[in-house]
Amino acid sequence: MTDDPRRRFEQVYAVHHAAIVGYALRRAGNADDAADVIAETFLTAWRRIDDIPAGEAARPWLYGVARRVLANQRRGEQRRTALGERLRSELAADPYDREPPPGLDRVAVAFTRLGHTDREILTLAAWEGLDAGQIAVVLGCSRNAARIRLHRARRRLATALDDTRTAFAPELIRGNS
Amino acid sequence: MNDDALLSRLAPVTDEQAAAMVSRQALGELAEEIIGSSPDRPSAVPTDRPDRPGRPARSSRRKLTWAAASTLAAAAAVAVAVSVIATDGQPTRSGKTASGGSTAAGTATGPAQRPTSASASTTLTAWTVTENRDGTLKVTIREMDNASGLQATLRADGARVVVTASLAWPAGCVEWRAGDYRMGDQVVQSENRTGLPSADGTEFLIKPSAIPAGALLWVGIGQTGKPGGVVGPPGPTGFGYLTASKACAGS
Repeated sequence: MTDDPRRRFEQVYAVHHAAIVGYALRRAGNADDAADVIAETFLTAWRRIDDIPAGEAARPWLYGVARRVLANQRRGEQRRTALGERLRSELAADPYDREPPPGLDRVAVAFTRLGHTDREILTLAAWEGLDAGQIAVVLGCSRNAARIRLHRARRRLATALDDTRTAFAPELIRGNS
Repeated sequence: MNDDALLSRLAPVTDEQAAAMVSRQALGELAEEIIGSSPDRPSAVPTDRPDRPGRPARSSRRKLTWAAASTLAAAAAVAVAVSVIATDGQPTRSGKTASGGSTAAGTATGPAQRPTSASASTTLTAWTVTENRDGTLKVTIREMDNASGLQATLRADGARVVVTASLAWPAGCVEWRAGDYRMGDQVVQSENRTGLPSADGTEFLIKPSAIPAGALLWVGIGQTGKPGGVVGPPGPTGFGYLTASKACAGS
């Protein structure tokens, strides 16, 4: 690990920017929010460069920061940052209204039936590909707690998937109209 | 295919796709701005350590210039898009339709109207709320405009809701039962649950009587890639429950 903070930051930024941009875009409702999460996360990383773990362990650490930035946004404590104007405009120019993969309706239904906490831990595993130890870093809990929470969330997802087999009846919507 | 693999396919973008959305120049500029913003990196950074549980999160103090923009935020892990059903907003036999404002870009609309004839709803409106005979409310959103009007209309129809024009939890609200619940489809049903936004719009049903006691139904509707302030089609729609409180209901 380099002792020069600037070089260290550039190293972390180069290796992990794609992961953080992806994390932000997968969770932000619009380009402005995503740009803020990215900028705030790396601003915190710069300010706490000495705290960032070496190697791949930096990624869950950065996710943890990004998660707190999102949480602050939800609480309305965050104001729009002036950082990254170009980043903001580039993200805004590419609305990601991509068509969903076919055949995933039931999975999406089951996913929405879970609580926020379950959804968060499942997406950390499925979207960011984190294991229980890495999720623990993101959530700020013990590895064992993360493992249990992940297990319970997966179990509830499985139950919700089972439920959709019998209870999912989209024609009900049309019948009500 | 296991559940993780299935869920991974719901991700709106992959890291690779996300990285391709921004140029090296934009990333380089951001890095320089960050480094230039606080060259004397403070030793005590007033943000929370992600690896320490139980400490309250605070917004960081900084020397940067902040834009006085609204604090939109994302709860996209809960976001699931519901895409449009092409309707003309015709009222049901109960004849009760509320219309949102016009589709004029960037302009806030006035209070919701309640036309009583079918012809009144043939105009393309930002959103409509239709009360069905079974007590459910059909919400059709073509453009996310006048969220407060939509909230007021739904509340007038008996639905204890908080509507946000983004995927942000409203300020002053906390998640019901600390997130330990399942949404199910007793309260909200949507036509298309593919998890991604549609450029055309969104439609879903709300059953007000099924909203759990002590909870408010949160309806967060993002926009698809529009710069702040520009009215556009609805993006991902997130639903959740908030703990009912005066502070939250008033947000």
